Amino acid sequence: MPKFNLSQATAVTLLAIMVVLIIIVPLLPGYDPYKQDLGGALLPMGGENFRGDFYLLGTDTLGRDMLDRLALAGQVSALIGLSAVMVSLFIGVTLGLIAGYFRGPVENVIMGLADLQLSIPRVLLLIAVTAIIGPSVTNLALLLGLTSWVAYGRVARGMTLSLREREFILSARTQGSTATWNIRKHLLPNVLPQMLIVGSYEFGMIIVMEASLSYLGLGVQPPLPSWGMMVSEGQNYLALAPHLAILPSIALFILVAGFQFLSQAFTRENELELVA
Amino acid sequence: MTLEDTPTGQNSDVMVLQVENLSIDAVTPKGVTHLVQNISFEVRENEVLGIVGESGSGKSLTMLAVLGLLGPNLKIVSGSIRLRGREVTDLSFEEMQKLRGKAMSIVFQDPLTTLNPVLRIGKQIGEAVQLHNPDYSKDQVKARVIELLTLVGMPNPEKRYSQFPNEFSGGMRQRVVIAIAMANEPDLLIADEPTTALDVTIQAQVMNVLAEVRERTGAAMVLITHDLGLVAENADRIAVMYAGRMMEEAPAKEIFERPTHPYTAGLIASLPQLDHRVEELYSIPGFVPDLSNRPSGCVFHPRCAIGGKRPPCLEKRPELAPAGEGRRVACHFHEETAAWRDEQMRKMAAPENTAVAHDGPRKNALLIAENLEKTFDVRGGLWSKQKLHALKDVSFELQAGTTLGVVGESGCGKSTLAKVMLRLLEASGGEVYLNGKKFFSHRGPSLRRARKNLQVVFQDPYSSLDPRMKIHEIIAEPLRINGGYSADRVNELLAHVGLTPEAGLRRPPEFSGGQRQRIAIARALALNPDVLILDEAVSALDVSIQAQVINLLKDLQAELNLTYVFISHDLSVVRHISDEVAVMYLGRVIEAGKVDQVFDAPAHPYTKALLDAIPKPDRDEAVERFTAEGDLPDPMRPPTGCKFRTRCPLAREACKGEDPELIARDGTDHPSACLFPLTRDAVPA
Ligand code: SF4
Ligand code: SF4
Repeated sequence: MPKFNLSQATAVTLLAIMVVLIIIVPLLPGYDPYKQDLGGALLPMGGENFRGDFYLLGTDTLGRDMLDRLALAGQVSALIGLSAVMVSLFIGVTLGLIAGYFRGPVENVIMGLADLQLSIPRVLLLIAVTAIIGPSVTNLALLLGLTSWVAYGRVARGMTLSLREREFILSARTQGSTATWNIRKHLLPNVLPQMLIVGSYEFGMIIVMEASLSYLGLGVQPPLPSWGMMVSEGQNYLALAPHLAILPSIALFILVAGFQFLSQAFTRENELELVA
Repeated sequence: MTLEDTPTGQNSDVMVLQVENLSIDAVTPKGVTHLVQNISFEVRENEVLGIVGESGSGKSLTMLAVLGLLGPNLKIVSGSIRLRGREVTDLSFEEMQKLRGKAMSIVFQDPLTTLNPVLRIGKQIGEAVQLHNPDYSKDQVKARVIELLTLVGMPNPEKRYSQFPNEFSGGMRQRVVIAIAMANEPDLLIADEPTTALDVTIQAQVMNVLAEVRERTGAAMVLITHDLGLVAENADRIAVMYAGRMMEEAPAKEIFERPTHPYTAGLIASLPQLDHRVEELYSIPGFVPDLSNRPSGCVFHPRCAIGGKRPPCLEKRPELAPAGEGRRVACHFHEETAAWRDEQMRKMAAPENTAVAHDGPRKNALLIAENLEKTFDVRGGLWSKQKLHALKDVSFELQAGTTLGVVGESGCGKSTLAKVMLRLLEASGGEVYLNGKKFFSHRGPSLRRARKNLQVVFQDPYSSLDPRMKIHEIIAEPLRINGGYSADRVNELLAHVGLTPEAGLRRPPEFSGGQRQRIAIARALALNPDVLILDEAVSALDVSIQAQVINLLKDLQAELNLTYVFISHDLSVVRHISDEVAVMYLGRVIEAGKVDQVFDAPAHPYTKALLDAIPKPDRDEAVERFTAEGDLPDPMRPPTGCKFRTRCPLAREACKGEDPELIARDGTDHPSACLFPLTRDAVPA
């Protein structure tokens, strides 16, 4: 049996590319995503400007290094994605555990909230709210986080429903444990691994959402780059310099696909653990 | 070999199945594991061969090999399997498929997973009929299906024909599975734990059906089970397997009286007895070896009371060799087994009157349950809410240091009783007094403090320990909750149940079922409780491990003066461990008394039926069995009057009107809820 299965191997490869892009590239000498050079604008991939500087991925409309722009944009996206996942995981797990453990009216309220959340189109909601409170990286991360807890909440509640009847929790109850104790000591540790799987799936979704909003101009604001924004800017130059729009799309694809495969690989692992 | 006393009374020398020198390996990335080694046996026409073994013995695997259904990592590495003289090990998958169902068929343990939930029963049996009779017309198929349903004793076969599996009880589903297996009158029927998932009264019915269909068709049967009593009663010959090897083969009727292999003798000595009290169970030390790391020489030597460290046992693998009429045994010292067994029997025999030890002046009861009630609201139709009486008027008293056994089949309310007493479910009525104080009136923090005197051990050793915690932390949990943790106390508790402090550093998945149950017991003892509720606490364990845990429980009780409520479906175990016993049926206690009173002279027909349903090797066929007919009634719509009357062989007109009280009536020395109780000397035939 190979040590890695296919989805694990794919995940590792794709994420390795991302690590190189957003962690290694910024460490390289000469990294400067803001340096403009109007004379060397719109260079193609592998092009050189008149001073003989080499640009692996070419330059954009203001002559900024595409590689460096992509790296910075990746950092911004990853940061937004991570914070949003953390916010939504926290909210979702908390509400899900409470709903599943206490049942009754509390559960009805929480699950009603979840249904309500799902019934409002998320993009419309985000557009409306950003239009009011104004776009910024922090706002974006918070908003994305606040609106994507439902997946965590549902899974956490489902697991809690079955775990709370398991004998190890019953026996803790007969020993005088409080609800807080059961949730902290038994439910949370058993639910969290599953939450990380949901998280790695949701991470990709959030990055796409962030890109869409930035594409619409409601996300990250210039001069900070974002892949979505880069696509939208590059659109105008599709004929002249197609790499401006294509490169950020590819980067987006690699990151999202990487996390999809990662969550798949996690799921397999967990299944194996359950079978064993 | 004589086959005079086959259950069918017929004699035949025509071989149906011959397995010779069969070995099966598991091929995994970690290496090759020998799962089954050099198994040989034969089954003749009309004959029943019982294969007995604990988990991991390879008994099911052997028969899967016969059926050609081994999984992808499993390989037959040597040996031959002949079905009516025809070698089947080298047949292709398609050829095997033709044999399965036609020449041989199987009945598995769990009818629920065997049947397709979305297909009507008639259709499923019809498919089996058609598979091997493609030219049958629709009507012919249907007629045959009805005939089969009648054959397996299905009431209302025409109506049942178009129902779905979920409309059937467990016992009825197993009948359907048997009908499918018998659809083409196979020569060989393989029954793999066919009744393990069923209640004992239903088990008796299903075993009868199996015997009847076999009598009709003359099929041979291989009965695979962990239950020695079941094979002893239902088989002609028994093969005992252990760790992938055959230990012994003997006539079924003789196995209990004259086991020749030390393992068989050990197993028998570790079984609690139904008809008399024994002082202490023998327990086979240690546990079943890891098959990837077999002991040298005789696989059984690390646990063997006879061989132990003797050089031949350590060095040389004993071969299965003839040992008298119809017997084969794989042991270097099998002549010594008889003497060892006699000695065990002497040791086990209970000194007279141990049961009366608690009869002295009655002290105040430690635990009292008073008129416990529990009703569940069950949504019936769209608007209607129905009430389910899970517990009705359950009362008992228990002295400190004694054990109350609560017995009954599934659905009788015994587990609800445990949960209500533990306040994991709120009672609908009644009260529990613990040390004279009302337990049910505690609320919040005072309830949490009061709980520590009433602890519990559950059935499932897998779900009762949090898989993500270390053993030390698991046992420390009650101490931490109540603020009295010390590492020494945890180690002391581990020692109580025979585990070392090192065990505390590992996690539950590294332990076997028996060890996990010990850990659960240690955790339950952490708070020095007065009462321990044992809810089917030994039911999931293999026989040899079960005896270890029972002995542990008895020792702990004597040492710590514990009071037990021992809930179980296993009457033999209850008899062994209890002082008092309560028999439950449909949420009511229908008979209660001292254990010897109830077991030796049952007053309620249900208790008598339960006792009679338990397989016994030495059943006197002349005495007719007392059987509970049919299935448990729908608990939502229990019958009027006596709740047992739909199944009671003694039911009369008067039983319809009145729900009998639990009182002692004329001719009985203990209370029962029957208007016409059986009396000690007038047990009707
Ligand atoms: S061969 Fe030795 S160790 Fe094995 S069962 Fe016989 S006496 Fe015991
Ligand atoms: S009261 Fe009647 S129906 Fe009920 S157990 Fe007694 S004899 Fe049977």
